[in-house]
Amino acid sequence: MTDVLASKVASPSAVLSGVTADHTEGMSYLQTLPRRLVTLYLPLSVIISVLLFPFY
Amino acid sequence: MADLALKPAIAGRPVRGVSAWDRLKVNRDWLGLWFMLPAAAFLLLFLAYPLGLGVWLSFTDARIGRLGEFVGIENYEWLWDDSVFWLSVFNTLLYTCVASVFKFAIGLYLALLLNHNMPFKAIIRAMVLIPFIVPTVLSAIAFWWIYDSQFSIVSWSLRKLGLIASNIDFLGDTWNARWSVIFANIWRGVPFVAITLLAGLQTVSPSLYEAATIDGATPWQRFRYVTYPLLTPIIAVVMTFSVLFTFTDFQLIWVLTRGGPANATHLMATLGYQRAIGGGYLGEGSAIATAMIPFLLAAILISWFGLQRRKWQHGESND
Repeated sequence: MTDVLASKVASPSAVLSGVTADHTEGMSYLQTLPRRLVTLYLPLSVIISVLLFPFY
Repeated sequence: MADLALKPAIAGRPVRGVSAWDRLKVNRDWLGLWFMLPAAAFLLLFLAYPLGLGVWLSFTDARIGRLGEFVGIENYEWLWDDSVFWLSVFNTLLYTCVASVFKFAIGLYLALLLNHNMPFKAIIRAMVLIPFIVPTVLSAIAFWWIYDSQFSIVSWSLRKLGLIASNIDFLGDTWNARWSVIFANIWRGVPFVAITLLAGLQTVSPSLYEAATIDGATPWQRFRYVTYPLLTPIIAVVMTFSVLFTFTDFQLIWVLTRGGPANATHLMATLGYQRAIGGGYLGEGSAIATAMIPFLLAAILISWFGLQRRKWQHGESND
């Protein structure tokens, strides 16, 4: 159980350096910045680009 | 104590005969009826009457400027043998099924993305809504320009990248036109689905996700066993509305293709309008519009009974 959890939590150094922490509630601190870039910001930016494209 | 003090005064008052009107004035049911009356009149005038008139016209040979006579199911018999009508039924079902599935999938994915904590969260959510709040005709004109056979920016970009040799005929080819209008509808419908599902996601307690994570649930398992079950009731409502709006879509098609090329993008709504207003055959157009009702009822029933809130979500066991 703890092994599974440990694999999900970002490395302590990354958390301490503030790379992952966005100082908001929720479990976002469990994700590293590269992971957030791939799973959140990249797809979001693609979808928003498509949605706003016709207004160019 | 106060009741005791009041009683002699009431007892001393001369008793007046209480009429039926007096009793009616303080009757809650009667008052409720009066309060409902404006809304009922509004619904009768603007919903029930046009619907009833449309159904009645479908049984007549009415034309523009002529009342017409009752002809029974002649209009429906005519439609039964009309290949263009069946093509419009096929187009409508294809348009609704493909667009609804994609709108749901992309809308749900977008809602899950927007549910994360991120900088400029409010601005991003507002930006997502723009395609939905822009008037349909305006966005259809934008797509008309994007799909232009000569000046399309998509064709231009692909040509510059060396991926195609000549411009894509988006609205001139039958299947290209079908996929193009479906894409435009998906583009317009995704924000509605996403923002409504996001509202549903906001009601899911973060403690459930935390508990699932502690139990070792993967992101997919958290979605499958926490998010999806709790989101089912709102999915039912959103998809019912989405299917209804898509099935009855008119503006987007009319601005982009007017049903062409060769009726390839005619939906039942556009064909009914073309026959009734363009052609002047009100009876035939009304029959096409009335023929949409069974499909719409079926869509509502499937959505409602298939996706409504399960008993276990109330803490009870399923039958």
